[in-house]
Amino acid sequence: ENETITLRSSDGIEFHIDARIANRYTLLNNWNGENASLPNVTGKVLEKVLEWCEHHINDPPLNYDNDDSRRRNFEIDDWDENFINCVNQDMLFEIILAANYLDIKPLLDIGCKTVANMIKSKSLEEIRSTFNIVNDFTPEEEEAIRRENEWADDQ
Amino acid sequence: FSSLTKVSSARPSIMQQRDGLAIIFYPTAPSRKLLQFHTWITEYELKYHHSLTENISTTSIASISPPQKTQEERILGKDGFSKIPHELMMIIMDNLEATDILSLSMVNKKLRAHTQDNYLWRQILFRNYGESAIKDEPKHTCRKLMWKRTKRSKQPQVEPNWQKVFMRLSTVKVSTKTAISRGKPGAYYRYRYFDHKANDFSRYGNRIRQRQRSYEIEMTISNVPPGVYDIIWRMRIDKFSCRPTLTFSTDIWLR
Repeated sequence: ENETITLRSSDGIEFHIDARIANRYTLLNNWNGENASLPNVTGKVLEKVLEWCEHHINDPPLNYDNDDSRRRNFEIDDWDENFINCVNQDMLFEIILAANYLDIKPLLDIGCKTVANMIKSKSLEEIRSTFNIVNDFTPEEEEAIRRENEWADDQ
Repeated sequence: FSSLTKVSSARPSIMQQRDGLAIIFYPTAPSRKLLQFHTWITEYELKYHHSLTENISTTSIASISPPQKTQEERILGKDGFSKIPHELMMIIMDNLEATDILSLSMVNKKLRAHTQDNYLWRQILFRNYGESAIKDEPKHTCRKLMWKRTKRSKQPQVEPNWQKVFMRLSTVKVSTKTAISRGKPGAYYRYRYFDHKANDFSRYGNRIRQRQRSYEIEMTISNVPPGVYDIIWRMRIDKFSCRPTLTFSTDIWLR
């Protein structure tokens, strides 16, 4: 019973995947038929996501009961950490978006946790340089916010 | 005792010491305004509060290089976060501490908008102080709707600003009563009040500090978040030309 499903990414690349993957993450349960096109996901990203899915194909089934505690308590294992470290930042955000779109909760959690770890215990300027964010506050606004949450001023 | 050069970095330099209780000589006069001065960590603190040393080594995740953007993209503000919808930001921020979220709120407008979610702060409050903090918070009546109020109708209620509630609760209040010698018989007392914001916990690992120049201190610490604390007193003696100055410092560590 080696069923395969064909996924087509937004830029027209086709992927043949094991039907078990699709069933596991309910990503294609709502699509009938064997071919599905994903207008929101590019081939590069889909390739990464499917790589992750294939590695985790034999994981124990998930329970979605206590969503909050599961999210906070899980640890990123070595393979996942390696996997997520190999992608660049743009790709990381793309993977998060794709995981959300395809409803792959564990991958979404890993992605979000990684981003959170990148923010964690960093100063304002460090956050800006890590994510290449431009400061779009005027000096007056910045001063107002600083006063508002007075204990955020580090400098 | 040789004088030491001032450590310019924000983190205190770590030097080994034999004993937990030690008289520490500060290299330069610390500024009076900030309760922040340079010292090194005693062995005791190293043993029980590794966080200071461990936090320095950042995870390998930080090694992900930021994407190189052209000037045009920078102006348009196309960073990674611009695509992330609010519900995903909530998951990301769920993994963060309050201090991280506060610095996130100062990064740019878009991220600030994400951090202003009242529900998010309710979750943070719940995580840090438990359910009772939320229940105990009195429900305010909305002033704008007050004129509508009659005896029979239910009073209109608004959710409190949970961020403000959290900030108030996480402010540790320290009040001290100090005896000051003025060369006359009898003692004079000086009362001082300090607010230690929860931010201080993060800046020094999980520790708040308090410095006092006197020989007798009575200290009241209130509004302390739940946890086990170590309190370490240090005494410093400055030998100036005429008479020595004693300075006590109190470190309160969250275990």
